[in-house]
Amino acid sequence: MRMPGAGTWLLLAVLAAYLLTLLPLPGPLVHAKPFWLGLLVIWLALEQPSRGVLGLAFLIGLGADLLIGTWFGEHAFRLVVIAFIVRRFRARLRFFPLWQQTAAVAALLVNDRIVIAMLRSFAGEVGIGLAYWLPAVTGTLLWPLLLVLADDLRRRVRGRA
Amino acid sequence: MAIAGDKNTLFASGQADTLRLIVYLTAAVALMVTDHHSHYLDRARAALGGLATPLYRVAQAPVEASRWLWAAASERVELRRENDALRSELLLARARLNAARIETEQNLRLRELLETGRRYRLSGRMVEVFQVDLDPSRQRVLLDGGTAAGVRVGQPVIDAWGLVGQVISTSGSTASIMLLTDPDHAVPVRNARTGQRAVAYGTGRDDRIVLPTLPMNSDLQVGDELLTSGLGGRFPAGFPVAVVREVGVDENGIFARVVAEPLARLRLSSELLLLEEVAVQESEERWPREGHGPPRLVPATAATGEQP
Repeated sequence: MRMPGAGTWLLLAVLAAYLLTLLPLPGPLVHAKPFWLGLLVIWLALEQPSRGVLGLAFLIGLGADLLIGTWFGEHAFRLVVIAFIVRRFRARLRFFPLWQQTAAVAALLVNDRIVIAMLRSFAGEVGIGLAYWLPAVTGTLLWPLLLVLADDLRRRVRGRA
Repeated sequence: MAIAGDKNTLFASGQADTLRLIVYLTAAVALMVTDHHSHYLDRARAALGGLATPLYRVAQAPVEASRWLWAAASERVELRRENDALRSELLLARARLNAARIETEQNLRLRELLETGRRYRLSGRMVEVFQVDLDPSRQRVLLDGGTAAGVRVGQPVIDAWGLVGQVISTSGSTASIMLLTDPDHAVPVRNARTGQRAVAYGTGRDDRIVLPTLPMNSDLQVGDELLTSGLGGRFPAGFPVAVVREVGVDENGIFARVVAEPLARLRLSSELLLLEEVAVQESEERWPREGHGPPRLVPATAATGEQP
């Protein structure tokens, strides 16, 4: 066992997503920051045949809540919802052509924005402008690129092993 | 659950997934409600906060690198110009400080004459801010320094331009500040021109706070400066808070609708000043507490025991 196992790669991917989430963006770009963790969970739920994806999404979400300082459970809720929907339609999503898959991801990310708005409205904070939907747009635009990148990385890793 | 997984039938797996979904979502909601309404989870947050610190450091590395690059790449001429500007600014600041010192002395003397107010001196400490993005919809900032560095919950935070907010939670190595623009934040203020008092609430937006409790006929003008009034005891008096930008009447016609813009550069400061009140140890303790008359001689041990 010289090569790091799947668990190590997963851990690295989660850490990378956390870092990207925390990475400060200049000026108005802050509002366009994509939901990196959501994209990661979509990818995991698509790729991993195992059934622990929901639990994994929950744990990743709790970690994010700790890092970002949101209420414990907020990110966990969002990510579990995403993971569940992807798993429900996994068989179809996996064999969609890229543009259809991207459209599905767009729907998931928009749904995620609605979920946060719902969670926040319980606490009495509401303020939804046009900028509110920007993360879903940037996330959708990034999805095809990330998918190609992830596939490429995996091929290289396998090629070495 | 392993058995259900082995069967691998289409409908059974779907049902098991739904069940899991319900369990996880219920857990998440329970956690959120607990976190929102009680303080049980604050301890967990404080204990685990140390784990997050290295991630913060890595995440802000690009900002530091870009600053370093900028300094390395910028022209000598430009640096010199900046240096000159800073020097003249320093000179001005020194002059103002001297003027302030004279006033402080006068102030102290007057307060001694009046014998009122708490005897304390303000002291400040520079703290670094983590240059990481938290949720932009929340008015929070993260400090690089926690209980280990002596940061306490409730300490007011300022920058060079005005009041920033207060410390709301601490862990071993980080502390979180609620900005004065947070909807949950309120600060007692005073109009510098008229002396009228009010309470300023955050709105959740970076560039505005509101004063909802002023009667309609209040003497307020656009451009008035608001200072901390010192009422309530949390914020020391006299720090600039905001400038009035809009004055109107609310829909009931009873209260004025006043919008002000915070003076502090809330999101841009990389260093902030934590204020602490240091009690001035003066002869006050030895003053006879009960009755009047000449001060009695107290044994040395009793006198030291009395002092905190």
